[in-house]
Parts: sequence; structure tokens; C-alpha cells
Amino acid sequence: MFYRESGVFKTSYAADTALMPLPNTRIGAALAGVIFLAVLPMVFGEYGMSICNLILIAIVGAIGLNILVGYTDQVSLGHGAFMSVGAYAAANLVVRMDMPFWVAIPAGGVMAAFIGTLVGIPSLRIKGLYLAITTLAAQLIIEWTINHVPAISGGAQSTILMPPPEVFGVVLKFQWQIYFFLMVFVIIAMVGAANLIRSRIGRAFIAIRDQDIAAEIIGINIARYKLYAFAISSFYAGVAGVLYTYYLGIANYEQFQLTVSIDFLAMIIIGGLGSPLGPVFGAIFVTLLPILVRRFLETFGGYFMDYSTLAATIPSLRLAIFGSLIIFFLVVEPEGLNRLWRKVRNYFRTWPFSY
Amino acid sequence: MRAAPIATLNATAAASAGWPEAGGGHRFVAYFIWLVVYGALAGAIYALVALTFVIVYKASRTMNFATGEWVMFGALLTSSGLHGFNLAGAGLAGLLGAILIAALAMAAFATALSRVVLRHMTGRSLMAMIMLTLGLGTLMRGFGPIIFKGRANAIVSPIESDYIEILGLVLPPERLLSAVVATLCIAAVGCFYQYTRTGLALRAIAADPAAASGAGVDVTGHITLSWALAGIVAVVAGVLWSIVSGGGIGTALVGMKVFPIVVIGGLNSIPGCILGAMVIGVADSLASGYLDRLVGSGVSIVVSSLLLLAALWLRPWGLFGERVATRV
Repeated sequence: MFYRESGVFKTSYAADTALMPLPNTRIGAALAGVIFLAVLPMVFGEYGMSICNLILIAIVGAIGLNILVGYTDQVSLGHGAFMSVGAYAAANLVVRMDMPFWVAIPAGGVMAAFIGTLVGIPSLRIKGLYLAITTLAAQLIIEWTINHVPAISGGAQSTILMPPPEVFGVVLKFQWQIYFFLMVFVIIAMVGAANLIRSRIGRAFIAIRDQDIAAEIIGINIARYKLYAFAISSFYAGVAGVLYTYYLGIANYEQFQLTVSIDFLAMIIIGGLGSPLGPVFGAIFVTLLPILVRRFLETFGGYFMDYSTLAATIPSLRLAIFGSLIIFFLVVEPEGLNRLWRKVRNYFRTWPFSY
Repeated sequence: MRAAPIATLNATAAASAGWPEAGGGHRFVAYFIWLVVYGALAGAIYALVALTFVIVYKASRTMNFATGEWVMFGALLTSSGLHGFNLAGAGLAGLLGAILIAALAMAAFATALSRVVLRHMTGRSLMAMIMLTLGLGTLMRGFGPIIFKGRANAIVSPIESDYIEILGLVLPPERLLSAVVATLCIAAVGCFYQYTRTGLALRAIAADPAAASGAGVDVTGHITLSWALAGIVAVVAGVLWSIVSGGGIGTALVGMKVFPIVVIGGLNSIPGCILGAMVIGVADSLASGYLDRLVGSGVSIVVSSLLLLAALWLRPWGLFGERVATRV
């Protein structure tokens, strides 16, 4: 029943590039499926599910950024802005034209992909630091534009109320309903990204990341694939933005500011750049961190300080711990949580015959 | 919106200086000139902020995305020194004392950072370095309010005087003073780079770290030194910025001005950062003077971002930057 490897016996390319080459992976995936689809919704209440939902949305966004930064090595500080583009595009479609979610979500993604491709055009000419600054400028310009153009932002407070999605006549009101709704998109996003990376496009991305000049010499059209990377990544961001808007019930530009872009970068770095599960670990970690810090301080902080200082300290302390962890991971474990997971997995992969 | 305090700075200053809305005829011209002068005065401080960035970039090719937070820490250290040691009553001498304490603290912080963290980051990818400084900024923004909690963060100008009128332009004295101090400070750093032995070593590292190392320059030591120097400059910049626009955590927002400046001027050029800062200072001032009432507040951040993109498109290596040829 437990299968142990003794070598590589693959006889076809199909087997070599299979999505789940080992039976262990299949068992693990099935187990994860049972836990996430059956056990979690039964164990958690409304609050627990709302946190799970936040994590699911973060996973979609982080997978998108990982395609751009982790696989293609194009730095982007504008991920939050791309999310806001998707969010406002979808909110306008839903509110003004009464579109269902299955139109709004892809439309938000396509709109974000369009803007993302525009922002990506400078990447054809400049690299690295300059690209980071360009995307930073794009983030600021998009933020301002959404906030100051009433046609996009819906006027006062730049907030659009978003009705909950309606699936087969059921209006999703409870967190567990939204959980299953989001889960569909997370699974599509994960499988989509995994398949993308083992396809021709994904291999081109990795070639550009590893050595762009060599990639060009073997015939990869660098300009086209860099723009693909920006388009796909911002499509994911846009979809995540729409999902977040559905989750919150409002589209609001304050949810997509520069700090959000930094959060997403932190997710993929803490999770592990350029790995399939890295963004998932990172999204879980970064989303849970502030909640745990708050919970911990609310429980134990009363012993150190009075409650009014505590309430003022929690947001700052969250930032401080977050920043320290980013630095800690960069210095101590540059490959992120994914490497820890790989170590554990490889240990058990040959266990108990690991000589 | 995050950028609002900087953007509204010139508009509020205009209101406090008693200038009415832009009118027609000669008042229109006067308003324009006034905006330009105001922008240039702000630009002098921007140049000092950008200098903290350029010093670090020259030495280690590291882009400090936490420049705003460094300036904020400099300002907060000075103001807590000022009020914590009761130096506020001592006028100019007290302020200088507080600046000295803050500069020492900041240099110590920079040295520790360089020795403990950055030492491990040599040869790491660009992405890792960008993320490291972003994380550093987050950390400082988080610890700032905790460390400096309950301290007054105002720094008042040591010179008390009424508005000064030069050639018909009414200017507040603290702005003029700040611009003069900023200019002197930049000149001092420039002379340090140009005429001292250490400055020569720093320029050698900027040109080619490997060759400098081969010629006997202690590269790691000098990188630490340049971080400390950046910390000291950040203290001065923070103090000046607090004097003209009020201190506190919001000082970190000035960091957003740095990127357009250094891209326009060239990432590793001190003259470039002065010129870039002037361009951005004037553009900001004109944008908030003319455009804010048309299209809503905070447009100056968009204008400087657009200038940045234009500069990248036309001259990616900056006006004075060194054009690096990549060997294929």
C-alpha cells in the first residue's frame, strides 16, 4: 500500500511531466481535499470560515504574483493595483448591468490583464530595479485614478456596494457558502498554474528567468512571453480582487494599496519563490499572522499593559513582527516555507529506508 | 489616501502665507513664480532625502525602499532627544545637540543593520534585496510608534522671525533656512566624496567593487560606513522636513518622492539627485497649485510618477547617471 521509490523508471515524456508523478502526492492531494472540503467547514464556525476565505483569496493572488516574480523573475510592486482594477471592473458590471458572477469574475480578470499588460510594456526595455520602480509608479497612478474618477469609483468614498453572488438561484450569504464558492476558484487557479508551468509557456517563463539572453538565442520571443507573464499574473490578481470584493460586499480602493502589493510579495517570498506550493504556504502564513498576533495580545497583552495602550499597539506590533519575519526569512531561509515542507516530505518519501 | 499629506503641503502653505487663489494678469505671474520658488525650496529638502538613497546605492547597488522610514526615524529620534533630554528650551544649541544624539543613534543602527543583516545578503538576488528593504521599512514603521510612543514629535524652527519678503515674494523663514541647511549639507557630503581619502575609496567602490577591493579598499567596511552616513543624512533630512511640514510618523511618506528624483537624476549621481529633486519639487508645487482644484487632491504624486515614467522611457540611466553597458 505504501509505495517506496527505488529509482526513476519513466518511459515517456507524459509520465515525466505528469502533474502528480508519485502515488504519495495523489494520496496527499486526496487527503488535503477531504480536510479542506469536508473537515474544515464542519469544524469551524462563521468566524473561522471567514478567515479561511481570506486565505483562499490570498492564495489566488499569490499564485498569480508567483507566476510573474517566481517563474519569470519580473519584479512587480503593482499587484494590489491590478486587484483593484479587477475589483472595480466587476463591481461596475454587477451594479450597473446586473451581471452574474460568472461574467463579472472573468471580466474583472480580463480588465486587470489588459492594464497589467500595459504596465508590463516597460519590462521589454528595462529590468530589475527600474522595473520595480515602474510598477511602483503604476500602483500609485492606478490608485489615484480609481479614487478620483467617479465613473470608475462610484462617487462618494470611492465605494461600490457589491451584492453577494447568486449560484443556481441560491444567494451566498453565509461564510461557509462563500468558502465553497471560493474553493472552486482556488482549485482552478492552482491546477491552472501547475499546468501552465509544465507547458510550453511555462518553460519559456523559466528560461527567461534563468538566463534571458540564452532564452532568446534558443528562439523564445522574450517580449511576447514577458507580456504573457504580466497578463496572466494580473489576470489572477484581477480575479482575486473580484473575489475579495464579493467577500467584503464592497469594492473599496483602500483595500488595494501599496501595502497590499508588499503583503503579496512577502507571501511568495516567505512561501518560497518559484514553487507550486510556496504561494499557498505564504498566503496562509501572512494572512494568519496579524490575526494570531491580535489574538495573542488580546489574551496575554493585558498582563503587560493596560487595554487602551494595547489597542493602540496591536497594529504597530503587527507591522513590526511582519517586517522582522520578512527579514528573518530572507536571511535564514531564503527558499521559504516550501523548503521546510520539501525537507519533511523528502524525509518521509524514503522513510524508513533512508540510507 | 496615503499620499495626501505631502500633496496638500504646498496648498496649505499657500493658504497660510496669505496667497489668494490664482488670479489674472500680474497676479497670475506672481502666483506662478511663487509656486516655482516654493517648489524649489521643498526640492532642496527632497534632494537631501534622495541623497540618503544615493549614498547607499553608490556603495552597494542596493536600493533602499525604506528611505522614507529612515528619514522618519531620524526625525523621531531627534524630537524625542529634544523633548526627552529637555533640550527644547535651549534653542539652536539644544537642537544641534539633539541632532548629534540622533545622528549617533542612527549611525549605530545602520552599522548594526549592516553587520547583522546585510552581511548575509551579499550576492543575493535583486528581488531579495528589494524585499529586504521593504521588510525593513515595514519593521521601522511598526516599531516607530511603539518606541516613540507618547513623545512629542514637533521640531520647531530655531529662528523665530516673521515672513521674509524677497523681491516681492513672501516666504516663511523656516523654509528658507531649511533649504539653506539642506544645500550646505549636500555640499558637505559632496566635498567628503570628492576631497577625502575615504570619499575616494567610496567612489572607487561605486565604480568597481572588485577593482577597489584589489587595490586594498575594505569594501565591506566602506559599505557599512556608507549606510551610517546615509543614516546621518537621514537625520538631518528628517529634522528639516519636520520643521517645514510637521513631524511624526507621516514623515515616512516623503520616501515616495525619492524614486522619481533618483530616476530622473541617475541612481548613483549626487548632482543628478539635486537636479531631479528640483524638477520634482517644482513639478509637485505646480501640480498642487494648479491641478489640485481641477482634478482633486493628491495629483502631485501622479505627476511625479508620470515624470518618472517619461524619464525611464527617454533616458533610463538618468540625466547624470552612468550608462552601464551590458556585455552579452
